[in-house]
Amino acid sequence: MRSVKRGKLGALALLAALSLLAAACSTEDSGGGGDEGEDTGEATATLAFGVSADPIVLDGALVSDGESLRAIDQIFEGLVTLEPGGTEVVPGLATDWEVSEDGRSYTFNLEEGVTFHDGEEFNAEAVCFNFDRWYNFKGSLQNPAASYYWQTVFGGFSDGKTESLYESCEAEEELVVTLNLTKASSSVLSALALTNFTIASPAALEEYEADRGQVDAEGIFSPAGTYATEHPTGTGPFMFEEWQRGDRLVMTRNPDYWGEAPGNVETLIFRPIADPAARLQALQSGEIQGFDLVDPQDYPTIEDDDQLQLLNRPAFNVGYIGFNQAIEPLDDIAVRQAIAHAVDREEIVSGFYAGQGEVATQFMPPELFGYSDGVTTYEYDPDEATRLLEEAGYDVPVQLDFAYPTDVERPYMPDPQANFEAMVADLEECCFEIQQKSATWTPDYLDNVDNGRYGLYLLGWTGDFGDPDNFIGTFFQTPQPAWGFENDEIFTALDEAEAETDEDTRTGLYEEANNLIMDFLPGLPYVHTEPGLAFAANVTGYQPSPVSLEPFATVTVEGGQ
Amino acid sequence: MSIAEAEVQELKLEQPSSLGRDALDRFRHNKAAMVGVVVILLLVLIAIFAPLIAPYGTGEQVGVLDSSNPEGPSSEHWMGLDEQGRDVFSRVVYGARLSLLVGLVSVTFGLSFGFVLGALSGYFGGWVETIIMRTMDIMLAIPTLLLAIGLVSLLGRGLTQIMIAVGITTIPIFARLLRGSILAQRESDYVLAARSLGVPGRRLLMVHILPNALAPLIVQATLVMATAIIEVAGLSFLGLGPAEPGLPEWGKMLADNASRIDRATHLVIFPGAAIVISVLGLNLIGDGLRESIDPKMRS
Amino acid sequence: MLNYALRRALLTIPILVGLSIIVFAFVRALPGGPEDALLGERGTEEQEAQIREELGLDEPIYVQYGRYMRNVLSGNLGVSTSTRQPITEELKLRFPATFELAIAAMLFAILVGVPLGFIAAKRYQGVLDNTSLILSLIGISFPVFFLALLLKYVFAIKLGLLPTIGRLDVTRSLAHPTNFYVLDSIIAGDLAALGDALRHLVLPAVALGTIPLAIIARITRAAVLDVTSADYVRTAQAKGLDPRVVDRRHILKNAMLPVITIVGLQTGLLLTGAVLTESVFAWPGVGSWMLDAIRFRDYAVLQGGILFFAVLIVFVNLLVDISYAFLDPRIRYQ
Repeated sequence: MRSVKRGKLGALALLAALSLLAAACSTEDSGGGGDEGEDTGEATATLAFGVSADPIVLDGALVSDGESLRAIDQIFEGLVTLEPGGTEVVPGLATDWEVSEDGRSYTFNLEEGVTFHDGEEFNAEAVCFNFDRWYNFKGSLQNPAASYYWQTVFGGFSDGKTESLYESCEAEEELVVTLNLTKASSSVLSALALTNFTIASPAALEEYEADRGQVDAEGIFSPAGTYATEHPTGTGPFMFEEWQRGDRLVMTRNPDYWGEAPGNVETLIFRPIADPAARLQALQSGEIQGFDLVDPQDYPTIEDDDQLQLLNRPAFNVGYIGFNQAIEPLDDIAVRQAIAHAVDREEIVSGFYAGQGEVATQFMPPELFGYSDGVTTYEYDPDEATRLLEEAGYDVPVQLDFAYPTDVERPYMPDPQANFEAMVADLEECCFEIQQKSATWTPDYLDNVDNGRYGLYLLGWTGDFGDPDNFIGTFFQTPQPAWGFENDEIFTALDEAEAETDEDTRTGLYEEANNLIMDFLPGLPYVHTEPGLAFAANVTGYQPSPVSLEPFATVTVEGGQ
Repeated sequence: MSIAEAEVQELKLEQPSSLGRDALDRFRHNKAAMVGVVVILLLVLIAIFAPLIAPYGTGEQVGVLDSSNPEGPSSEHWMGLDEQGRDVFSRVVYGARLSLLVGLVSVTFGLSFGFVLGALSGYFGGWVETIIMRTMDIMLAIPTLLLAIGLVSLLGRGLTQIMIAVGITTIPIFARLLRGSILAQRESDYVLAARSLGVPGRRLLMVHILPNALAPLIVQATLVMATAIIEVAGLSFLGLGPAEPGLPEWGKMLADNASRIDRATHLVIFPGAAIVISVLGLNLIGDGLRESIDPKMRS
Repeated sequence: MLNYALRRALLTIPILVGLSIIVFAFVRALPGGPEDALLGERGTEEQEAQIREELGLDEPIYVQYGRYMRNVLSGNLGVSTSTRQPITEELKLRFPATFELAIAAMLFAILVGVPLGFIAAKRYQGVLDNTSLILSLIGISFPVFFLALLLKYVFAIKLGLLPTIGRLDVTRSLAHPTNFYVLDSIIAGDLAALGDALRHLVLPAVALGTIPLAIIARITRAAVLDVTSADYVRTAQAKGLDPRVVDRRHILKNAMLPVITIVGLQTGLLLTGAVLTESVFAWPGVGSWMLDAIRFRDYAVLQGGILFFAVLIVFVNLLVDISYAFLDPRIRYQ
């Protein structure tokens, strides 16, 4: 009776006590950092890193999203790479190279004694296998979003539908390979440092059917083979171990790595945590030892915490308000200038970027050559804005629609909603009436922007490689629905600058182009940021890169947690 | 919402009850319910006189933009400032208008349609009743938040759409309640007597049955209004709320500042407390009403 | 009894059919059909037509519905457009996560709520009774996400006693035969993992279970009061039966009836709360899955998920009805 009831209660209590005991024990276990003891430089540490999402797939040729590239950077390598933390091209799998007289042939001498993770030899044939594979992409693999970087750099494929910069690849000797182009190019070498041109094991590509599958129009590759999800095989300092979507991607140190891997990380785990606040909390509680895409409003918290450290990438991005001139009255320069004067960019940058942002005067960051110190600038002056509008004959307030994306953080725009609210407040306080719009970043917002459905919109860009062509060339070299204008002066100036091979002349041409652009004012750039990464204080050796090319092979986790 | 659901089951089996002087007396002496009335009266007053009570506008920037360390409560700004430099107290006050509006509109919407559907099925019976009630069952089978989310996806984001969506989710509750009440009354003595005297069905329905069913409906409406407010706040929290980001909706304010909770706790606490207090007031009233029209419930 | 059960079971069939039609129609009605989500603006007319043909979207809607239902009944819920994984596979991962959370929340609610309600009834109108009434009212008035945020802030961030997100410590590896992490760690005999899994469960379960707790406490209290004043109990007491026996044999057993009903009806509430709780604690369950599906227009997932849950709820209600009838013979003969 009472004893039976007591019995049941007692059992419950015992179970509860056991659980508490187990919980107490596990407290010491959790927050796995390094292994204490062996300071002999042996790689024994486990590093868990918080990322914003799962990679799409682990095949560099078919992705363009940051998280896929981040993982691929650990497993694969290319002919050339970038100096750590910078944008200068340095040797990778190639030790040195020569360019032919006519600028159309690049001959690379390859590193000796390199093997892929499956034991296959790395040689000139393997290089050509990869390039030819990309050149021969057919069907949906030619989707511009998936093989985006091939198309950006080289253009077309072997089917000849579009012109291609790529002509052929020749394996001259075992360790000498030549890439032949259809015409001289000034930017192809830095492009080869891109993660998308890393070299994979031909044997693995074939055995696990890397090309089998489909790409949808959003550029998402859904593989039918297992290469890109279970057997990505490169030459890099880490090897693929296992991948559970939504949970973890696990890589282990490559014991036969040909190069230098001074760090001590044995097991590298990428953990997808969508919410930046949750990433910070996981770092604070020791569940992860680092994460990317830090919310600027968390910078003070991290800097004040002794157990944590904040690292910054050099500014290599731009955040802007885009103007779609196909929608009136944005085609009127007076209106665009009024907008530029009406928004208090200083206040937004100082309020929402925690000191890690600078106000932008043009569409590329100051560190890049071709940056112009002489562009027209637009001071915060709402009265001037009103005056411009009235002079041009408009009834104030002028109606405009303005859109911002939801469910996204970008390095140049960690809190789109905050920026949006502040800008709308500025615009409405001055002389505009704003119709507010929003959509989820993917698929709708980007879709709408690309199709010119918004008048004003918030967007930005992080550079892929160290060339102005990657910034203002991408935006303004050809007519696009997102910008809605045709301006031959600007188009021609950018064409000329891209084709020019003399470096100094090129710089001058790009400076000119920037001046033209900021006079024409196709949009309002407002910020360059130094995006932050957070780590536990005992993690050293991580080199933030302007283009986020960051190998973990140099990372050391000191001692235990 | 859960209490509503639960009570639907219970009330279905109960006898009809009426508002009357007894009931009002009991209500007035119920201390908890009186607290609720005071709270809601205050809320209504705040909502109506918001422009007089709030020192600033909802979009007015009175301080600097600061997303890392918005100013906390001070003597000048009782609830501090938010990341856009706006006075939180003013926004919370104006938020009362939104919450009341949302609660009223969605409940009115749901009550109207639910009433009609319930009356139709109670009166006609037969296949009319079966179809309507099965549909209500299906609607109840889907968790209300998911239903609301689904409706918002269909209708699009926006305050009106959300009110309609939440209103639609409340329809089955009212429909079932009214039908149950009609059914219960159909078997009762006074109805049987009236029918044997030849009183036509429709007249019975209009003059006697429906007014008697009113009381539980009103109780339900209060409780449902409480859950409507929470649901809209929940929708905002999930990012499916009204599209205009500047709207001082309490749930949205919570959602926007959830990530700042350790550095700007005031931005989370005050809107959250506002929701709790308003909903509590409604629940107290609803509870009190139920107890006063049906003292048996109190046991 | 069997008759009743069969009758009730048969009644659920039209409900299920109706549900599937509604869900199907609903997803079709959402802005941006599947061919839009798959092709976007980059698709040419031919490509769009091709996709429509491949997916069978140009066939009349009842044909599409028929095909979908045939697939569903054979266990194929389609493929997610965002992850490219079969939906049933993901469901196997996601559902146990939410279910485990729901069970933990329910256990919390029952283990605390029933005794609370019982004691409150026993000390009717006493301090404890009134306090518990007030507390339970406040509990119901608290939005789940606000409570979850506060709990997380106080216990995980400020006090650092419990983890903030997820089901298990990142660096811990555990085999997942069942995907119920508590079970998995028991199967593996890994006590540390068990503790870890339980620690991660605490805050979300408390957040999710608070409203059910409040309700269960109130219903228990009301039911106990009801029963206590019933004639047969007073008779037993008058006869001098040990009050504790009266408690257990008569009061509790009969008071449990409404409580069981409530527990069954809570499934819907728990799912709703799960969406919000999972969002705050980054819990990889069905709630957060549905949310992402809506945000990122993964309609296949939405369809499959909603259908799955509606069916689940219908069955739970069925079970509740049947057990109710089992416990209270009066119901059967209605």
